[in-house]
Amino acid sequence: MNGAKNANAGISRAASQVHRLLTEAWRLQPLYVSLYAILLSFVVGGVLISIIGVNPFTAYWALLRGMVGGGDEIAGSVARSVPFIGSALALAFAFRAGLFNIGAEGQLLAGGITAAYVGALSWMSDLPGIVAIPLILVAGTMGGAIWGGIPGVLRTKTGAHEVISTIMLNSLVLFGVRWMVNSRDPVVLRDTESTVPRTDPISDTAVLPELVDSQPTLHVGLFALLGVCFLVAFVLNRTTFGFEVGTVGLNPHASHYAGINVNRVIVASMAASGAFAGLAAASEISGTNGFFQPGTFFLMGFDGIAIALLARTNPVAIIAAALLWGSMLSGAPLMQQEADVSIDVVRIIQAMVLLFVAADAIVRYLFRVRELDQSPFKATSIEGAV
Amino acid sequence: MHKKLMALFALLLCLALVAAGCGNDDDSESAPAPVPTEAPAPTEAPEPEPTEAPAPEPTEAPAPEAPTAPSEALISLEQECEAWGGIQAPDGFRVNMVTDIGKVDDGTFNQFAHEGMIGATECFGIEDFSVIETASEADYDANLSTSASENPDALITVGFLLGTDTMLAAEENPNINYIGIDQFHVEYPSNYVGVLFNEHEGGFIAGALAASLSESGVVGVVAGREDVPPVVKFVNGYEAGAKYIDPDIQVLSVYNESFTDPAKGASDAQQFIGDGADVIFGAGGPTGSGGIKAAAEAGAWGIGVDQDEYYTTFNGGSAPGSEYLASSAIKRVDLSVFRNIGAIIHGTFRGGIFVLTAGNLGITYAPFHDAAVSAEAAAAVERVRAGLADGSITTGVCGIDGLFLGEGSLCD
Repeated sequence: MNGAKNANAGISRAASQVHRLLTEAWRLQPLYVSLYAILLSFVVGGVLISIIGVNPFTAYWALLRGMVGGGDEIAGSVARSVPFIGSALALAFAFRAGLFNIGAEGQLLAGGITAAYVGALSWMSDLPGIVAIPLILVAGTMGGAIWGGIPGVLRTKTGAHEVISTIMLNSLVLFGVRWMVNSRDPVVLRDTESTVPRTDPISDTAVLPELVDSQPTLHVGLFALLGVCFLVAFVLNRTTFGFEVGTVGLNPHASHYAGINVNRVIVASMAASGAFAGLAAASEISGTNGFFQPGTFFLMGFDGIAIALLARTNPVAIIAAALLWGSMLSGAPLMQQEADVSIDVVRIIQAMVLLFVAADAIVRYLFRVRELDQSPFKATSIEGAV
Repeated sequence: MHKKLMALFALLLCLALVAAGCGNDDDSESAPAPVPTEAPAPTEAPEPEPTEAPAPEPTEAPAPEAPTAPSEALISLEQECEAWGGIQAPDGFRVNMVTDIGKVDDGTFNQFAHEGMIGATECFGIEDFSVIETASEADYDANLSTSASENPDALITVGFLLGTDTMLAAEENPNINYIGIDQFHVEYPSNYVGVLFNEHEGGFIAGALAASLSESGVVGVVAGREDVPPVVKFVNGYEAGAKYIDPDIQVLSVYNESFTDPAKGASDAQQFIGDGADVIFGAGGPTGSGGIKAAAEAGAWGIGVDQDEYYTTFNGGSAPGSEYLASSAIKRVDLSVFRNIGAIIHGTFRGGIFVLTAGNLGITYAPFHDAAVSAEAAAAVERVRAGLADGSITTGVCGIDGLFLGEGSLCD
């Protein structure tokens, strides 16, 4: 009797254990959609590759080796991914406050040019690296924060929608920095010694230490951006400000009624978003390029939007999404060299990943992934069975 | 709520990507146009022309009879191949290429360099070759090292933006010979050739053609940026060439802030035509092309630049006004790639500057195609080209900064 009772309790414990595991797995379910979307995109991409007359396995094998085929390749892929972390966070953070920050492209440029300007100031070379490096990173972060904060201010003071104003500000800063870097008369920020339009090289003391001498260089900026991801996760989930951001994102009117200063939250989250992009740009200037050249950041901000979307704006998932994104771009040249398949194929695969993530009904139908609220592991049903 | 936001976002993203795509076009068009800002110094370094190699003799080319036929100086790569006497590359000889942002068929230096490379692989029996098309400026050094990992015998890099990275790569890989299109340095390692151009000679040829065609005695040039020396070389060469034919001719010129503003180029051309000009030379990328298109629409002659604009701006004759495109002042990037690959096989490759000049047939003019250029004008422009080629005519323009000699140029 006693034994039976124990056995019963044991079964019950085991059942609840299984239930807990299944529920855990179920919580990862949005991840499945992303994974299946990636898988599906590669399958469709493979069909495309075979249509152009190339064996898709040859192409993907070259792509894979270009991404992770050796120490240098892995380091290069990680290095290529680092700035995407910042540009994706720029979108994700504002998104939590219900704002569409399309301006990461411009915020990167604003941060980059500020960092390059500060880094090349003559007195920077007198400072020790422990001062100069934080200074250049802070300068870039501030540049991005200001450029990101402007649309926030415009939104709160004039009601201008941030989508419109960030797009406009992108153009403004793009052509602004191009002029600053290209112009010889007057010379604004152009390095007149260089045959290529770019700014003066930054001081040696402001160069971020190198981790691996890969192409591109993997530098300590990686840790800065990883740190920021976890910081953002902490702020969003564990602080009052993060709670306010989330609340404003869900319903600004209710937030206002509840006593949250909505305007302050909007400006602060736009500025914070810009700051992440600015930091990414500054770490590239300091760790990889050593000077500012506008084309280096081309499409990085827009790719950030895609990465944040793929990661469903989860700051930690952004790390994985950015790594995937950056390493695909980093591996594609080997695919072209060995299999004669253009990098455009990688771009198409990336676009399809996004399409399938956004239109997740397709993936759910194909792979029989059900919606979260249709969980078959309803607690009642299991408990009822035992 | 969240899903709707996501969907809206995806839509926005698509819009953003479309917008970015437009920006990309803009970039890829502008990238190859503005040539090196420090100008080539043709006199500074020995030209590693393959003249010591089986010399490409222009006279061997079949001489055309009809006045509208292309100049004998516009040799095909097959003709160039014959001049190399059938030498073949050794087994395992590999040629790689890294483009500037763009594609191998985008109508810029990327395409011409690629054509030269393909021509060389066919001519010299090279079986191993591959290309990496650069998608972002952030990828230059990574693409160069990926390409170098195959240990090619020749590695072609296209565009002045790759100059710095190519220099570093050449120093790092002494066993690979680098051919850098449009890349100027003061000094080169022995495994690195920078290909540059005598734009002032091209401008001079265009000017001579313009003056020969003009009935009004007024000709115009719509140019790109004045702070880019090759543009100044084109413009001043043009003026000198026009005055060589007709000392009394009036040359109208305008510089623009942008290489990629066809509308501004068109309005410049209309302005000049209003002032009496009947020939317009477009010397500034899409801006200049806008100028010659507007000229053709108004029934005035147009002269293109860099490439045969009959095939690009006028879509191979299908665009209206192609009968008004008299010719184009062209840079034979394909020849420079071909010859340097040949020099590597032949063992005559030397690092330094390789200047494309009228003398080595690297600077010449395009066929007249649909244009009814008179026999006299055709003869005059060919005489000028031949004179520049054999040195009996000089442009009077400095090859470094493009200013007129004796007017404070760097050559004085």
